[in-house]
Parts: sequence; C-alpha cells; structure tokens
Amino acid sequence: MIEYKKFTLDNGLRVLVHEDSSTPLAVVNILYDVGARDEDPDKTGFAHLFEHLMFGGSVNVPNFDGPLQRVGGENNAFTNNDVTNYYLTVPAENLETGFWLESDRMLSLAFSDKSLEVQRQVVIEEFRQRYLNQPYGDVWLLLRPLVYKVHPYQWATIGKEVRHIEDASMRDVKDFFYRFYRPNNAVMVVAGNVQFDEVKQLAEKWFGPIPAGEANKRMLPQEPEQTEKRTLEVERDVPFDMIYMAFHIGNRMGEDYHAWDLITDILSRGKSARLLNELVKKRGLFSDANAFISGDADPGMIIVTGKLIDGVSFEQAEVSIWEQLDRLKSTPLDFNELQKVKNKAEASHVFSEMEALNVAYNLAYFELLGDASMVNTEVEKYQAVTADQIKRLANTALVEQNCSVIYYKSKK
Amino acid sequence: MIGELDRTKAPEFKVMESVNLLEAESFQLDNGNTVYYINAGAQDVFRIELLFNAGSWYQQKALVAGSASKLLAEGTSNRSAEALASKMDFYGAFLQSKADRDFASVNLYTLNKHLGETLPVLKEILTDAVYPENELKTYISREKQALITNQKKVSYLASSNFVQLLFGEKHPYGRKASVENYNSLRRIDILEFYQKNYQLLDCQIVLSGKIGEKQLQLVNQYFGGEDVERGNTEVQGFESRRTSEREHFISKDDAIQSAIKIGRPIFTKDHEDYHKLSVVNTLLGGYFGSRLMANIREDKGYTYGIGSGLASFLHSGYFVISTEVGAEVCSASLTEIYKELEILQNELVGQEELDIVKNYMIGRFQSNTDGPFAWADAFTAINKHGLDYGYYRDFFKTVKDITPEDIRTMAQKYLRKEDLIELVVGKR
Repeated sequence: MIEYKKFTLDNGLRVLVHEDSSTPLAVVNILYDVGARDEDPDKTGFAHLFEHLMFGGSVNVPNFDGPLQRVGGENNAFTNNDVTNYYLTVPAENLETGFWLESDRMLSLAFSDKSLEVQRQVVIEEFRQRYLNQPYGDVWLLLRPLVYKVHPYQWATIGKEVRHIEDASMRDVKDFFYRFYRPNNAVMVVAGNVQFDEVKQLAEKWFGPIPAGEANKRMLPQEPEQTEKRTLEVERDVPFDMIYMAFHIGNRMGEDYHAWDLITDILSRGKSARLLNELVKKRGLFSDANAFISGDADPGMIIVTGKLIDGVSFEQAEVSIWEQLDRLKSTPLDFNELQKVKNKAEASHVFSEMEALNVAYNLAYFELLGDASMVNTEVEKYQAVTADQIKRLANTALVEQNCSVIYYKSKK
Repeated sequence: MIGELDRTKAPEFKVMESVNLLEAESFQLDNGNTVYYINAGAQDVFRIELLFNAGSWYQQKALVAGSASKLLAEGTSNRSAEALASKMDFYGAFLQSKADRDFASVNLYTLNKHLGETLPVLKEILTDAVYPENELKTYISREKQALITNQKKVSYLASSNFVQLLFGEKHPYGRKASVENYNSLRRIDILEFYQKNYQLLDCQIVLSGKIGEKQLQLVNQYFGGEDVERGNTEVQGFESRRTSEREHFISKDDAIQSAIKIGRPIFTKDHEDYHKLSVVNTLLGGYFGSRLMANIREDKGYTYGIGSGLASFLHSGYFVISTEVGAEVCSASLTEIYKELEILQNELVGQEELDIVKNYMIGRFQSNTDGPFAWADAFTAINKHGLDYGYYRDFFKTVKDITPEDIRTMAQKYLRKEDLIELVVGKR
C-alpha cells in the first residue's frame, strides 16, 4: 500500500507527496503530459529531441547537471509515445536544489542555439546507434506504420526519419515549450525522506510563480478498426529470420488491460511459459520467442516475436504461433496456470514498491491517467482476471483481420 | 513574487563526506558455514545470494562455466526444467543465475510468505542439477544465434576484442567465445564442473530483506546440514599476455558508427591507488558532467554517449574509455579523447569541478546503497575480494582528502597515451 497526499497549486500543477523515512534520499519526479503522439506528422521525433534540450540550460541557470551533481544528486529522463518524464534523486537534506532546478526549467528554457545544434547531432547519433547500426534495429520503424494508419502511434519516439530531426527549428522549440511545458500540463511527485509541509512550502515558493498555460485538449485521430490482415516482408543484412505479429488491443485504462498483461505472461514470462516450452524447446522452431503488450494510454498492441531456427520457413513459424494463440481461444486456462501468472504479477508489484523512483513514477503516471490511487488497486485487478475473460479476449482480438505480420528476412 | 525570489542563486546545501554504513550481520550454520545478512526495508521480501568459485577462471574448456550457470535450473533427477520453473513461478519467485570471470552467483528473490516452498527447490537445484542433453541442445542453438547476431554489432566486437588485447586470448579475462566453442560444448564437462565447483560448504551466502529468526532457521534447515559438501576447485595460475602494438583496427565496411575502446590493464581493488584512480575516472568519464561527456557529446555532438570505467576482478582489472561515434567523426573523436587525457596530466583540476566530483561520488554511493538488496550488494562487493568495511571508509577518506595534485599524479602514472591500447571497430 502506497500512502500519499496531494495538493494543487493555483497554476494547476498537481503535487503528490509520498513520505518514506526508511531512505536517506529524496526523489523529485516531474511528468509532462506530452509524448510523440502529440507531434506533427511532418515533425516527428520532436518530443524526444525536446527532452534533450531540457538539459541545455534554463533562463536563470545555465547548466542543469552541474549544480545537481554538486549537491550529490543525479537525474535522467525518458520520452515515450505518451509522456515525457524527468526524475532526480538527491540526499534528502538537499531537496531544495531539485526544486530550484526543476522550477527554473519549467519557468523558461535558455533557448540556446548552440544547445539545439549539439543536441540535434546527439539525437541523430542516438538514432543511428539504436535504430540503424543495430541488427533488427529498424523493426519498430516498420511495425508501427503497418499497425497504425491514422493514429500517431504510427511513428516511433525517435521519429520517422533522421531528416525530421535535422529540420527542427528554434521556433518549433519555443512553440512546443509554451504549449506543453506548463504547470497545468504536469504532475510532480516528491517521494522519500521528505515531509508534506516542507514539500508544500517549497512547491509554492519555487513553482507557485510560474504562469499557467492554455489548457491542452488532446484531439488525436482514433485508429479505425482493422478489417484485414496486413503483411510486410523486408530483407536486411541480419544473420537470422525473425517474425513479428501485432494485434490491436485496448488502452491502459481499459477494463481488459490486466487480462492482456497476464496473457503475455502465460505466453512468455519466465521459463515455464508456453512459447519457450512449446515452440523453442519441444518443437525447435525458434531460438527465442516472446510476447508483450505496448501498455499505451491510447489503444495499444500485443506483439508476438520469434527468432527462426535456420531451415524453418516463415509459413511454418507463423502457423506455429497461431496454434498457440488458438489454444488460448479454445481451451480454458487451468487454475494453476492462471494463479501462477497472478502470483507472479503480485510479487513483481511488491518488489517494485521497494524502489522510491518506481513508486514516484507510478504515482505520477496514474495521476496523469486520472487517479493516483489506482496504484494501490493493481494487484486486485490482476487477481480479478478470469479464465473466461482471457478466452473471450483471445477470440475477439487474436484473429487474422486484426493482425499485422512482418517477415524480417535475413539476406544470405 | 518573481521579484522576491532570486532564481540565479543556488539554495543552501549540505556537503556529505560519508554515508552511514549498514553493515551485514553474521550467523553460523550447524555445519560451520557462515551466513551474512542485512535485515532492513519495509516489504516482507527475502533474497538469498550464493556465490561459488565457479567463474570462467576455473574452467578447463571454453564456455563451460557460463553454461553451468545458465543451465543450472534446467532439470534435476526428479523434475524437468519446466516443472522447476512452474514451481518457482507459482510462488512468484525469481531465480537468477549468472557467472563472470571469477564467480558464479545464484540469487533467489521470494516473498517471505513463500520461503518454505521456494528454498527447498533452490536446494534441489544446487545439489542435484543434471543438465539434460535436450536442454543443452536448445541452449546451444539459442546462444549460437545470439553470438552471431552480436558479432554484427560494433559495440560487441569492440568489447570482446578489447579484453583479448589486454590479457591475451588464452587468459580467462581475455578469452572470447566463438561459434566453434559452442559446437564442442559437452554435457559431461558441464556436469563435472558443476559437481566440483558448486558446493554449498564452499560458497559465500548473503541474505537480505526482512530477515528474522524464522528466515535464519529455514536457511539453516536447508543449507546448514551435514549433507552438503565441500568443493575441490583447483586454482590455476594464468599469465596475461598484453598485446605489444598500441593501435588496433577492425574494419566493418557497412558501419555508420565506429566503436572506440581505449584502456589498459590495472590493479585490483586492494591497491593503494585504487580509490584515487577511481576519482580520476569519475572526473574523466564516470558521470554525466564528466570531461569526456562535456566535450565529445555536449560540445561536439559526436556521440550519444561516452564514458570511462574501472573493471575489477579477483586477480586483475582494467581501465577503459568506451564510445560509439559517427564514422565520419571517428578520428576527430580520438583526437579529443587524447586531448582530455593530456589535460589531466598537465593541468590541475579546479576546486569547483573537483568539489562537484567529490559530492557526486558520495551522493552516488548513497543512492546505490538504498534498500536491503543494495546493502547486501555493497557487502558482497567487498567480501568477494576478501575486503572488509574498511574499504568503504578508505573510499570516503580518499574522496574527502584528494587534491588536484593527486589527480594529476595519478593521470601521469596511469593514463599516458603510450601505455594505453586503442581499438577502433568500424570505419576511421
């Protein structure tokens, strides 16, 4: 059970406080309600490039990292399709330094040309290192536009292409900042060895004077229902064939989210999971096979992947995966198998509550989705999943007309 | 209100010179072996780590130590891999097993309420693994594919070839895996290695989480009896053969980035210069604000990341600078890296920068030791090298007392270009 208290500043910044005196640390987590899905289709990769610019100096503080490191702190950030998250840890005595730094970059950035030029290069190198200079690295750049035809999930966080990053201008940077990086578009969580009253006073002092921005109403085009199977075949200089199969499912807040999560656990979590035992070990078709969900705020995907053993054809590989999916549709799970994945989900949840950074992010994320208290009902929701629900979901969503397949072929 | 608040001025802060150490307690098992434990944290969880002298240092044939570790839970006389995993998974437990050059480590994470069910399974795995032939076959096919895929990555080629240049291809710290090694892997070699090196009377056991009487009793019940044995690990000596050439290049025509490694073999953790060099390493490339990051990423934009580090093994170690840079800026990056090394040897670091490094290192120590598992890791990190908590007290003292002159001396002693081996993989 995660205890927390909440208040909202006049400018709309929501602040949640989780007190934990067992740690000497304090965590400040600021989650901005903006991700790659909010980008213009011609300017993709921008939310992530912007995240880099948040470290390039703010209006009153020329350098973000140095002053934080000087007080024994460290920090990082990430961007995904839904959100952008900034987090730092400091010795609890030096909490105020975190407030000073984070509030100044929410007030305004320095908008330095040098920072834009350098970070543009850094992000291009990141694009190359993670997506282009890696075997199978471009698969997300291929799969997303196959699965999504309308919704902005059709591009990856890094962007559609390097050119979009090359073209980003200072004007784009400023517009983005004043539109999305406003207190009313963010949630702050302060956790660790902190006191609620102290946090409240610091928040009013450092964040209170920041003006609110206009309310941001997100109006994204919703993906229409898929009506026929989509396939794509590519050939790359990789050593082995791989298959990727994706299906549309519901969103993070949907009532079936936890059931979908358990379905992927049944298929591929741990060494007792089905894909490993049936397809890798017993039948020797794959050297590796996995299933996972994207867990997005808007309707997401379940993805099944397999790395083919030499001599196995794509058709054989695909049929064998369908057999495992069909098994979920026809045969109800027995009690032990379902209880196993539920227990595992519960244990993971308990272990994840040991990390202050994790607790802070989860509180912020659920608050952004609508209600932080959902952090405490996750285990119940996993326990409430039924064998019938899993069977029903498999029958509805794990079907041909909802499927996108990539045959990622090795050039030999 | 904006007028009243001077945002250009940093708030007051407290400098920390050390961290209160949470030291491990010890408990003697009926068979004489000692168990160390950290009792802390709010959650009712339990972790046991067992550390065996079963790293690749002890193997007679390639890949045997790593395979013995990765296949440890793939079957016992009574249970198949799937049955063992189902049992652990049913209780929500996590079993991790990994081997490095010196040690094999086995970790079980479990909720305390299931300890009575999961500990006996762990014991079964540690005393009766049988390494079934079919599991070995699956494993070999998977690992071979992973290796072949890795060999396409400049970062992997750089890491695996670099240690070979530092220690020699026959040395356990320098050997790299080949597809042929997998083809000649035999079940009997793995089984014999396991029987010789995974013995419960010869391992270091560390518990962490919520540890009370009940947990200690259960550990004693399963691991404290006379039915466990002492191993007969043979400690072999090896001579390391460092390459005589300084510059090395592996060409990869289709690379759009090149991987760079620059470094040298270095002493073990008990050396008098270890903590000092560790400060120099942090300053140079050990944190986000380091000189290499500030120059090569934040000023030039040549890379997504660059860093340096110290690797410490039981019998040796190494220092290395690593990065992946745009192929077209590879030689410019090399020039800048050597320039930073020169500056460290010729100029004195300013007090402000040194203070940042010092405070960062203590803060980092604090955040790395948060929670019972982290404190157990801090204990294992010294215990496996035969060191005690004095090691950390020396660390705090060195960080507090080190001067700009000390830093320059260390750089002159250990970071001269002519002593460093350089490897580039990709294009230059």
